[in-house]
Amino acid sequence: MLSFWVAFAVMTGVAALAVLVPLLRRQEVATAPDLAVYRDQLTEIERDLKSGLISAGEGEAARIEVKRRLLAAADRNSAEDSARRGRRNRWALIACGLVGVPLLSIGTYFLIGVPDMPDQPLAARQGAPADHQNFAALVQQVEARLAQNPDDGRGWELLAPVYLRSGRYQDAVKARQNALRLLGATAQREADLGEALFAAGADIVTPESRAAFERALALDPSQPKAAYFLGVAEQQAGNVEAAATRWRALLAASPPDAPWRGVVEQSLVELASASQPEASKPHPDTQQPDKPLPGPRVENAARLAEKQAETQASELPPEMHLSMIRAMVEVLEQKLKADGGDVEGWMRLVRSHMVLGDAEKAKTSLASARTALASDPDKLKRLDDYAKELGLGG
Amino acid sequence: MTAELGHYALVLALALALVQSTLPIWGARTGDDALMGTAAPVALAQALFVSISFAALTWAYVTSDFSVVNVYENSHSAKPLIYKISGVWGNHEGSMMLWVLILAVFGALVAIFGKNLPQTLKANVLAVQAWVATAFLLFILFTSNPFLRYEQAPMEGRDLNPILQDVGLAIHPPLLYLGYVGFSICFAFAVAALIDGRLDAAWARWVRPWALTAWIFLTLGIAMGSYWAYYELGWGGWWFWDPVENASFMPWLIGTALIHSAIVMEKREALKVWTVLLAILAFSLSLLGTFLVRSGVLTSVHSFATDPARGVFILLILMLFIGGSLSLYAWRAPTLKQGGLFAPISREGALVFNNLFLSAACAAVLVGTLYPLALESLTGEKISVGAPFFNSTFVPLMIPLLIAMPFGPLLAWKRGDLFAATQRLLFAIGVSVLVTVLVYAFVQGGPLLAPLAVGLAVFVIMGALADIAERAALWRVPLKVSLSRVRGLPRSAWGTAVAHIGMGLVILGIVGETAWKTELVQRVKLGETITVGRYALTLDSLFPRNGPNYQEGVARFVVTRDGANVGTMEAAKRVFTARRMPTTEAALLTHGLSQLYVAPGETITESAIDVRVYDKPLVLWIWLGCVVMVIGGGLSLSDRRFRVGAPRTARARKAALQPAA
Repeated sequence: MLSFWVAFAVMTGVAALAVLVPLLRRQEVATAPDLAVYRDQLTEIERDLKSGLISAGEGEAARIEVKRRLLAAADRNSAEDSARRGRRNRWALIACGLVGVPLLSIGTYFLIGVPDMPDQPLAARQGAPADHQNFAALVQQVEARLAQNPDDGRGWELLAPVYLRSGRYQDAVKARQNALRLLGATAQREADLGEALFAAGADIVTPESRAAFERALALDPSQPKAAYFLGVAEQQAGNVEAAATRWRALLAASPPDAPWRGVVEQSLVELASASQPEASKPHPDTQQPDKPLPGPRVENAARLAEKQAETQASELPPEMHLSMIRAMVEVLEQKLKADGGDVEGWMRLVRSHMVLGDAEKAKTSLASARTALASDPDKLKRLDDYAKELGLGG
Repeated sequence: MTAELGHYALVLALALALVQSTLPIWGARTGDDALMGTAAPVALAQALFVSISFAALTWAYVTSDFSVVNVYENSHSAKPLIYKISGVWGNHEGSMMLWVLILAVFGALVAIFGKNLPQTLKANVLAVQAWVATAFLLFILFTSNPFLRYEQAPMEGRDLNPILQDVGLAIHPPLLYLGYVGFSICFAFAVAALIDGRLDAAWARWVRPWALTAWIFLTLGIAMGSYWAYYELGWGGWWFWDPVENASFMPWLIGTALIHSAIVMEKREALKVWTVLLAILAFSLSLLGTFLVRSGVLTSVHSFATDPARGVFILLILMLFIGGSLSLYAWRAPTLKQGGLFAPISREGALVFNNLFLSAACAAVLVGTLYPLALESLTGEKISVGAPFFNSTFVPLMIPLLIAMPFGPLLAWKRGDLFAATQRLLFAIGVSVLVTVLVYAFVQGGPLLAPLAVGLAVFVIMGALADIAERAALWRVPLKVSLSRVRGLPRSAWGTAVAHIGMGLVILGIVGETAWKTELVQRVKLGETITVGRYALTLDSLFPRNGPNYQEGVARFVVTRDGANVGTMEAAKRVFTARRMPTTEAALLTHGLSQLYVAPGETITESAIDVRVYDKPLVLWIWLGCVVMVIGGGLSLSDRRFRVGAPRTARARKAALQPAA
């Protein structure tokens, strides 16, 4: 990190010197460059005359014109020279160079930059004994095993949420389909397939994904994920009421500590706030293609996936379990960076770090959470209570 | 570390730009050499830091450092290196970085090559240049910062918009920006002259190389962009009057007017006020172009940034620079002394004619581009002003301009002789009439006016040659003398002729493409043969293929002409893995100056494909003509008179040192 501060200082010095140098150096002043231009114009006229491009009369007229300019310029130059004082305003230069430039740049940079935060190039991330690397290697191992033994339904089931989270939606769909085919249909598997199809369809409940959710509900009418996404389908079709009904029913049927409650509640709130100011839904034809479609974006799907991964992870071998939590933590951190007001998210992040046995990171996250939530005393209190529970008192 | 140093370098550049905006101009007002002397070194240092910053961002792209948000959002580790690099400017933040990089480099060039400028003018020019730099650096750092970081780098990036993953994109925006930003120098010269109140023939000579440079890059950039749209977007056309295309075309039209009016100002010290206005307008339109693309006001394939908050910032920049400079112009221009007089029929008159038509054409394009926007914001009604509007306004304005084009260089300064000029053009007129008749006689199909348009293009080309022949006194003196005279011609004369020939070639290409192209939209089965224009295509095979970060379905055609095999073509539909976005990869087969163009349609099955096929005669002239124009510009730029003053400076320096010794 020393090299960072050395480079930092050198750059600041160069910038300051750029302002200071003119003080030390004599100015190179081109005297009367305009006269040079006019003299050149005169020789050009001579050349044109010689080659017969212009007649003698034209040449003479042009020459007089240029000479007139030459005289005017010479007059003006001498007037300007006498007006020039040549005063050297050293104090302005010193103030600017030594104080202004460094102070302004360092101040601004510390305001908007993250000094000495290291680069994280792909090569370093792959080479380092980081959690990601283990995780990526693990995924590759599973993939390799599946390539040899594609009938391992359990393997496909393991990979699917990983694919979903890393944005490989088509692969996630394939994995879910394979798991379904090899391990037999259950409500959970059908719902998972529907979710993958939802993600692959750019967060739209496509007819295929809808069909999957419906099959899930046919197998188990209380399957929460399928119920939730069918609500999303209604919402995306513009049937706000139907969506709300479905979600309310889902909440009513869910136990009070169900991990998905938060997601569903939030969707309901969003639904209410979205439908309030504008009673009539925008007509599909007038919609901008780049405007996000109404309805939950991938965050919600990711949250659902995460909840589910959490429950699944408990059944996995321990090392896999940890990797999954780590991957989840990463997703969570990014989400919180974008939206710092999510107190539940922060609580989960802190807890995850504790679960992973990294108290240092847990404390850092707690500190970031306090900063992010500083403006909201209620949430801050909840966070602090929670921290106490975890033995992080603060 | 590099990312953060790049960030800091950008902040330093801002601090230096602030210094450069104030000290030199203060020095110019108070006649203080030392303050004025800061302009050049500070401009160089600013360029250095912006370059460091840009290099740091590029490095983050090359190493796939996804802890930089901008890299995560626009890159992918599996992308080929060239698209990692071009991805730097394939997004809003990065393209703004490119903008200020070019701005800073141009500033440094003025600092280096401006040794022959009067000290006050140079100080003022660099100060004005720094105003622009300050505005854009503030814009980048506070609304579009490419150096924002994630604490923990995500696993994989989101990839660059697939239609932008193309060699065309690697080259097109830098060229376009070199043009846009190049006009900022002309703008700085204009504003500096207005502040200083000094505007004479010498000013025009100093500003013209910059205007020419900007014009050359803009011409290349537009041609490149047109070619990119032609083959990458798979639309099969070369110009769509798309708002973004118009945004780059308007500064070109005004810039073209500027390089012509600067000639008049240089030679006769006339049109001063007008030339300054053109310099201001050329840059204003460049800024407008930036605004139109960046703010997302326009829906266009190019608008990869859609963010109204930034739009407001750019709107402020626009108001400040366009409004400010035009106010300054309105205030100072009346105090400028008018220059030489001339008769309507003269070289000056011809150039004024050129300026009027180019400006009118630009106004037509401006109306066609902005009217739908204004209408939409006022009434909410969406209309689209398409090719018909431009064809009925722009094209009629171009025809008199093209007819007059060969006459201009043949007219004398001050008072010309139209009859004599016509006599000198008789040969050119004869050839173009002959060509028109031949085209009528031998080429079938196409609109009735097409042969006339070909005749016009030939007239423009022959007229440019007639100018050279006239200057060489061809046939009037022995051939040997003529040849030596040709060799002795100033480069600027060659520049004019070559650029005008280029224009004629472009017209030829446009006419050939629009009048005689054949188009076919059809479903083709495996092994089936279709005939388009002069070619027969057989669908040879359909197969999938994997690229580094995409998968594609390829249709291979075997092409024959009059029974002879002329090659194979592979048109493809690509799907990019990360964004799951399809692109169309049209196949092109160049045959002479014509091209055969195959664009795959939406459906590809195992045994059949929908295709659009065009046979486009002469189409390559559209872009090659632009290249010829650019060569003309380059010749003109290398003319010896732009190098004038350099030897004088050396002597002057010695003179200046004497009293000190």
